[in-house]
Amino acid sequence: MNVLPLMVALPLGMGFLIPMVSRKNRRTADVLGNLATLSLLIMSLYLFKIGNQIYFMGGWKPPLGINLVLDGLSAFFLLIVNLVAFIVTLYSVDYMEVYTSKLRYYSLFLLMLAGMNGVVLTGDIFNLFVFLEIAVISAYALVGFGTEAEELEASFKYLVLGTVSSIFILLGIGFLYSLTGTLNLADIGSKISGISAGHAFWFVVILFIFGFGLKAALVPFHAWLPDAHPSAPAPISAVLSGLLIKTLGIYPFLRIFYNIFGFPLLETRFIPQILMFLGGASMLTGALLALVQNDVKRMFAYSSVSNIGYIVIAFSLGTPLGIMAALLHTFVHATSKALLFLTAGSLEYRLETRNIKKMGGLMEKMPITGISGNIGFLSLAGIPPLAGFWSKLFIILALLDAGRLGWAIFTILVSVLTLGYYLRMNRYVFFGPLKKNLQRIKESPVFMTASMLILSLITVFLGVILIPHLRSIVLDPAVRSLINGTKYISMVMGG
Amino acid sequence: MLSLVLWLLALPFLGAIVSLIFPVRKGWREAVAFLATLYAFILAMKMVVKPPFFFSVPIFSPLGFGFDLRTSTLSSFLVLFVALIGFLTTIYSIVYYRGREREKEFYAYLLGSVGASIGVLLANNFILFIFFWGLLLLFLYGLTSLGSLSSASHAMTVVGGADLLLLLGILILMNLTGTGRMSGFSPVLLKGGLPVAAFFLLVAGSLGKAGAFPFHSWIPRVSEDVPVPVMALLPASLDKLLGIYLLYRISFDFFSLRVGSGISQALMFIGSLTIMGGVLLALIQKNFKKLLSYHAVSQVGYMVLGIGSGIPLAVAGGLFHMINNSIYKSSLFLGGGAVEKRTGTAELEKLGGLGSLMPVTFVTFLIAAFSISGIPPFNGFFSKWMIYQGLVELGNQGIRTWIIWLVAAIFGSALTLASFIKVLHSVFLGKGKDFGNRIKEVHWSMWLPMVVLASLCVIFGIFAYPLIINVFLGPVVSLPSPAQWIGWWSPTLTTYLIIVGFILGGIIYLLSKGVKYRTTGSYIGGEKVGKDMDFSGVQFYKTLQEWKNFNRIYKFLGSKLTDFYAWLKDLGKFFSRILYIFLDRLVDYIWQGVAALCRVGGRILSLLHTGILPTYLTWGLVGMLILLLLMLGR
Repeated sequence: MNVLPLMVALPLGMGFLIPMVSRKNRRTADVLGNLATLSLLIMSLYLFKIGNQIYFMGGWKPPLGINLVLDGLSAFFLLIVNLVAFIVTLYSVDYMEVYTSKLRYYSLFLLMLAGMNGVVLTGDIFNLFVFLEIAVISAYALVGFGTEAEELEASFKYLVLGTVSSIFILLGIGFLYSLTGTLNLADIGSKISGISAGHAFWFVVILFIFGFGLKAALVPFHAWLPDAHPSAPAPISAVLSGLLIKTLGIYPFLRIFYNIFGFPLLETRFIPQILMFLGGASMLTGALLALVQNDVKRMFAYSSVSNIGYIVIAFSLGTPLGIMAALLHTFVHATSKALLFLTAGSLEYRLETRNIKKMGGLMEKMPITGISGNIGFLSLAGIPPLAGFWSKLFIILALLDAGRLGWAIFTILVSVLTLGYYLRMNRYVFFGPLKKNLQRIKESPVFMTASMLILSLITVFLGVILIPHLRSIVLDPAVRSLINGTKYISMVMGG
Repeated sequence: MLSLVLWLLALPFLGAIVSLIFPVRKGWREAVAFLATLYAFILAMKMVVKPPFFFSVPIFSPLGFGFDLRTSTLSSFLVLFVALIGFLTTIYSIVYYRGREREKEFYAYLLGSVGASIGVLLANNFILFIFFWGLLLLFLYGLTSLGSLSSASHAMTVVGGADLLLLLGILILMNLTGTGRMSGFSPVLLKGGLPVAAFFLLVAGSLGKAGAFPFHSWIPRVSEDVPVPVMALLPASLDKLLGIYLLYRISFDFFSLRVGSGISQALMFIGSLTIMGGVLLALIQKNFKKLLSYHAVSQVGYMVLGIGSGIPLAVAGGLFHMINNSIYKSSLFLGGGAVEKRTGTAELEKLGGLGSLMPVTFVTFLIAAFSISGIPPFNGFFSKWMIYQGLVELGNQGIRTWIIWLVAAIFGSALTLASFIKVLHSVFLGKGKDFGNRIKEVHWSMWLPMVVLASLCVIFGIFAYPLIINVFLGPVVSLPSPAQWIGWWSPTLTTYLIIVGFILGGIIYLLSKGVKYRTTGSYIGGEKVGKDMDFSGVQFYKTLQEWKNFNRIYKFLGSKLTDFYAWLKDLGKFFSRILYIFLDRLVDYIWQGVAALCRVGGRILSLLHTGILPTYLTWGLVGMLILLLLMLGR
């Protein structure tokens, strides 16, 4: 049996099934939701065994029908998405108890997951747009899930900005269609190589930079993120920051720019330069803003902006080392940032505040949250031997390797800022004297702590995927599928 | 021969390791040190009679590094004296150091110093040489730290600074000669900037070790608090032996020092300054350990003067004086230690009348004091006499400055005698202070080394020709035959005359025994000497100090101008000031500035994020417009 369609169909079906079957018993929803994400995780692991594979929906061959394409890059992203999604659903079991409508939550969550899996797998650009919209519309709803004024406002902002970007993406797709007369990604690739890069083509590139850049929260398209991400329930924040900005923002960049447009983009240094500039601006702006925040989740949100910058800078280099560093940092940031948002959720769950000035000395009261938070902090701050150290090291090495000394120094300096704001947060939240009103604080419930522990372990040991054997399974195929560029086209069209 | 040399080199270090690491029982540590130094001494005696020896194992030839050893008449002799002094100091320490703190370290460093000194003397490779030289510095630091850390760091700074200069000099010299070996190249001519610079750097290293002006200040400083055997071993003898050995090698093996050249004059100036400065400062000391240590400085001047003149006779005199100095100066320090051990003080004012209570110490101290003051027929006179003659010879060769150096040397000798009269009077003669019955002669193991050294003073003085001039100095320096010396001096004859004089005096004494006489107390000016008329030796030369012109000289001698340590300290202060201003403060300001900038930047950006949707949308669209303009304007 082919599992590729299941990656989309399972969460999609489950999303509708859960509200129907578990009206009587809430536990059913928990069990079903977790089962769904667990089986998705297992399947995504299984996909590594399959290797490259193409599924033709309804049996229609490429230029005509929609196809799902599995290659190293998709497998890599599927692993990240489903790993974090599973841990987050585990966390939700306890955390979402305080919200009234757990059924709708699972429903929306699984829809979002279906959208993300679809985006990563699809081989059709309009289909990509559709999945993207499924994911992002669920996200709009989930950001406003608490239905407080602030949350609804954030959701609305996200909705407006997100829709504008989606429209531009759609416009870009329209232009592409008018240029090539096809919607299949591989087909577009093969057609566009014959067309000289005119203004229309560059316009499409700009539209995509705007559209996907906004989804990825690149400066100056980032402004919705610091409002939207903190407003959502903690597990959703984890997914938004850890996964959504990458699958809806970074992945299409990689796929379209490397595999589809490949030839003109990699030859001119102009687009990579623009992307590097945007990435650098994101890094610096996010870090500076994170430095002055007092709201835990808001600070994490700005940190996400900054980290997206790292990823963009690394993959814009176009060198194998740069791509590997970018992918590694994607993975690291997904797990670490998810871990941090879960920690923040755990704090908010017990303290009912997100202001760091009202916290202090929580290490002794909430040891597991404290340890997880510290691991997340230190990982993203780049302390060896945690995962974040390796990915940042590789980014800097890749920059040096490509001869971008200035960028390397800039990255190192921003890393210092990153270290600075994480240490500041750490001091305020977990260390220092315990506040008087916090004497009775207890550790969070079991599912929350368990999921945080799992993520902590992953964060600590993620560095091991650099070991050659594991790297050849997880990272190398993803890097290869990008480096080989337009071979994607022949793979899809030939098969 | 090879095994002999290697054993000689390894033995003291093995002893050091054993006494430092192995948890030996009480008393065994002394035994280890005793046996190690004794055996080293025996081996050194064996080595002296053997012919010169070369040994070489190249280790890293591009840098000229190799394990090269060499023995020569000079170095074998010096090794013998190093071993002898080490051995005697060890015997002395057995009782002296018993029950003190850090005994383990004391013996380890003592043996280590002996080993490193032997290494320095045997090394025939510059890198090996500087290795042992630096090792000696470490042990010096260890030994002086037994006194106090501050004086140890003083010593470390001065000697370490000088060693650094030495290292620089060695690097330049290796560059000039193109070899790492310390022998086998023809002496470099002292012409041009680089050789002269290398020469002076090397000389600075050797003078730093020997403790000449301006590298002298650490010796009096450490003398106040380190145990006496340390003073007797290092500043009094080993440091002198090594420093002057190096000075000799520099002047005649590495470079060719010309008689009457400016460099020679400069060396003689340093020598004379050291003689006079050291002795003038010694005159006014009130603590006899400090006084002795200023003499240790002053005596270096003779050696530098002798070697610096370049006249063979004076050079030989300088080398001889180096050996003599290590003998009598060790003896003096050991005697001082004995006095301090019994009375518990080294302040001259508190001492007096010990001569009858500690006769052996008194006699050996007296002999050593006569020796250092250059009184015939002791060894100190003989070597000084050779230097004087060398200086006269310098005048014969038409060098006009000879008279200055000669006067400085002779006058310095006179002042030395003067200062020792003060010590002898204050400590051993004069009115006895009230010590009760505590004072008696020290343990035999403490006076035995002093007796050995004092007898060496006598023997080397009387039998200088057969023992030293013919056997040791003859092969090293090509001396004219004694008959051609300007001032022919026969110590044997003089000794006979002195003995005859003593016998005559004895006969007169014996004859006078029969005559009746009346005994009464001392009186001055018709009045009996009472307590109020007691006169301590400390006051002897107070007038000198108070006299206006001398006052100025003392101010100069005690000032920063003559002290390498003060130079180093000022240099250090200067650099740290510069670093503080331009590195520490600047970096701090920059750091604070950047931090403030980051915070302000964050605040401003934070203010920009107003949460107003149209603004956000505008940013995005403006961003896209800019991209479009960039793209289309290409």
